[in-house]
Amino acid sequence: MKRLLFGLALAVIFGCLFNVLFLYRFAPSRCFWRRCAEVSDRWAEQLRTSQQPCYIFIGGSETRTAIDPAYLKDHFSLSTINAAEHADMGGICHYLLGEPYMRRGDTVVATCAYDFNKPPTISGLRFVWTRMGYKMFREGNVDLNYKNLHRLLSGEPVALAALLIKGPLPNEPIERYDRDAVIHPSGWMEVLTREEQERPAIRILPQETLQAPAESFVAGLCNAERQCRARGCRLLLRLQVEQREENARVIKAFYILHLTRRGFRILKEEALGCDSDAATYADTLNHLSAAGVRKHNAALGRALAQELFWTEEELITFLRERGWDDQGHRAGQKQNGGNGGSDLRHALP
Amino acid sequence: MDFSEINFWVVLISGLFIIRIIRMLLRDLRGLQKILLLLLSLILLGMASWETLLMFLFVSLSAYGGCRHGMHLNIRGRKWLLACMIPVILSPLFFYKYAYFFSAHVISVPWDCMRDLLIPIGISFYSFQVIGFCVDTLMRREPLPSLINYLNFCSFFPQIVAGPIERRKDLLPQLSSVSLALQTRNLNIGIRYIILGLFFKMVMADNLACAFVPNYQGQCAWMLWVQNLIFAFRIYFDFAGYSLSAYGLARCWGITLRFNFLSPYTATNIREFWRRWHTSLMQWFRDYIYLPLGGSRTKFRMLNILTVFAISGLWHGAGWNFVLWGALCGISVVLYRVFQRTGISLPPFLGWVLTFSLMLFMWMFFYDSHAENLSRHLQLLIQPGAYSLAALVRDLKGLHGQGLLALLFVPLSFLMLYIEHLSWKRKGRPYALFLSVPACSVLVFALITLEANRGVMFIYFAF
Repeated sequence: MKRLLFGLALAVIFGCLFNVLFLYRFAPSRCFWRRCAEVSDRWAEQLRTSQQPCYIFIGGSETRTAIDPAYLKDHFSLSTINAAEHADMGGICHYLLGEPYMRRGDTVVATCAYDFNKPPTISGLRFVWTRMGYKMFREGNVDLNYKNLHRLLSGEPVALAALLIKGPLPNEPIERYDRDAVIHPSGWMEVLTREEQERPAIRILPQETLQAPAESFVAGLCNAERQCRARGCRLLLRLQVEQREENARVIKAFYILHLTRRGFRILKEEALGCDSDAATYADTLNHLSAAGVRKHNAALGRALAQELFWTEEELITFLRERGWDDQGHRAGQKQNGGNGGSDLRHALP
Repeated sequence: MDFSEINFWVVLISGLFIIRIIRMLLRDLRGLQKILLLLLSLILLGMASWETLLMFLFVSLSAYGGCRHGMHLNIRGRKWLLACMIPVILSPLFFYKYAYFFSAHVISVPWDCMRDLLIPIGISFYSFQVIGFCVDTLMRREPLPSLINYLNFCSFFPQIVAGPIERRKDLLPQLSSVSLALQTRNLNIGIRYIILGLFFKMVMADNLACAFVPNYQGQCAWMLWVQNLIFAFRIYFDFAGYSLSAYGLARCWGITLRFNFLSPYTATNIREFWRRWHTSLMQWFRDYIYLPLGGSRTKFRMLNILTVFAISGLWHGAGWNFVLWGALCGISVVLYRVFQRTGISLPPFLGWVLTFSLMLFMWMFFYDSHAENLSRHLQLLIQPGAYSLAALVRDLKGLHGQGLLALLFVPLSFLMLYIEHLSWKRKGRPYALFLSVPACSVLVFALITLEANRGVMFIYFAF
């Protein structure tokens, strides 16, 4: 029995050591995104020498691929930091990853797609640990409990399988973005592949409805805004750019109308995040190509430089011009539910 | 009562700690041990839901009441009593598991309120265990145990939820004299089996579950075979993992349960396969359905085999695909028996290849519950043009993320099979080589580094 217990104890110790080493040093995906973060660190260091307030973009990979700080600096003299990482981290993590860059007077720009109440996923928790360490429990919104500790220390068989199977293969990157993306010195991640370029833009499906944001989502944004204010920063919102038909803009307009009414400021881009031009996109529906980044950053830079935000009146006018009222109903038709829920069958051209 | 969940171990260890304190205070626990064991089992069962606990109590107590009444009856009276009791015992099982299937697919009057009923966990297992108890007690004239001993037999926590389905002659005497004091000798053996069971479940089965694509849409038949392979291994490691953990837990208290799996995938013929797969259920069907139907002594023996396997298929799930799966398994056993009469014997390796391939094919009927998918997959398998090695290589190269787990865990699964085969050959027991201290240490290392971390439920909980 003693031999058994001794053997098991050794196995536990070596297992945990192996996991710590692999997860936080060699896991291919984590290595790639850590490099992205380090590039942003260097860029931020350069910017801080000028003492100018910065715009800090937080979010997932769609933000990392959509925001080029060098472009915004060159064309609009805006100091911006791209602090986005990969998606599926949990909104709390996206916010935490932006915190180390925040200084008094800065502006945090978040995408209207991330629920800042959403707890960390396993990958989010592990990535934030690599950046913040124990501080994420002390200062971040992350609970120190058995579940999170287990998630920090347990294995990642998918990553291990990738390393073991793809590692020995020549010309086969373990993390696909090692081959398919370039991280520019500004922190912008340019995705080089465009497999979806021939795909037609997504149309509104008949059963899609105008939906207001969920209360929990709004609560998450309020929370994020409170935390920004506590650090002397302000919070702005932007819409992510997606390959959608232009008539999907009513969905976005209705959505941000509710956020505007709650006091949030959403940067004004006429496209409302819907661009059906396939050339705008790289490998997915919301990763922008180089051409797409220039287009989007031109509009975004203008909005930031001139402090252009959507107003309630503008959004209501936008909806009315397309046959919708501010309750999400087709003009002239009263339907159930005061918070939207009308289907968009008639919105199709 | 999921052994791979931390909650189970927290409650179990807390319960044992409380029992230890009671032992220290009371010193003489002889009368109380069985009550404490029963309480612990009921608490662990009740953790699932109140409904689960209530259904269990209904099934077990109504059966006990019936048996008690039957003690005073003659043999004919007992037969009639049994004929009345069995439907009562099976009624909750029918209600939760089969009512919607019966209404929608048999009488074509869908009772939509029945569609999404949550089946109380373990009901398929303890219902059969209780029926076995009733038959043995009433028909074979076994003495009626005390209520406490009987309830402990029905509710014994390592095996109540997913088997093995035990017989009163095996488990009852052990539980009647159980001691809650943990002995080093028993712990030494029990812990090893628990580790093996958790490795099978949390490393092998759960990772294979992540790699499995149930609704394969591609055009490569080889990849479909790979999916069947993944499922075949997944269901084996999942269920065998639970059974081994249950065995190990029971063994910690000196209770020996039966082995539910005896390395079935190393069998060299289909009959041997079914003697090694879910042995407790197959023996239950043999003793309580096949033999009463006449077994091998009647000219209808082939029909009896088909009947038993069809019922076995239905036991696994309320769906025609399960019945079809069961019937196909029965047909394969019948055909094997016919083949046996020719006197031809195949080399063991060829026998293994054929048996294993046949099971891979038949599992498709088990997991494919939609007729359209099944039809599409069957058509893919019979198209010679779908067997392109270039397409296979292309599909394998395109695997990423969780798909890569297949490339790691399928070869690992074959390695496990090989070790099981060596265990049989060298030690006469299928898992002996996994139980040494170095092997257990490696398994624990693998548990920590390769745990799927997805919280995939034991597959047989759904049955």
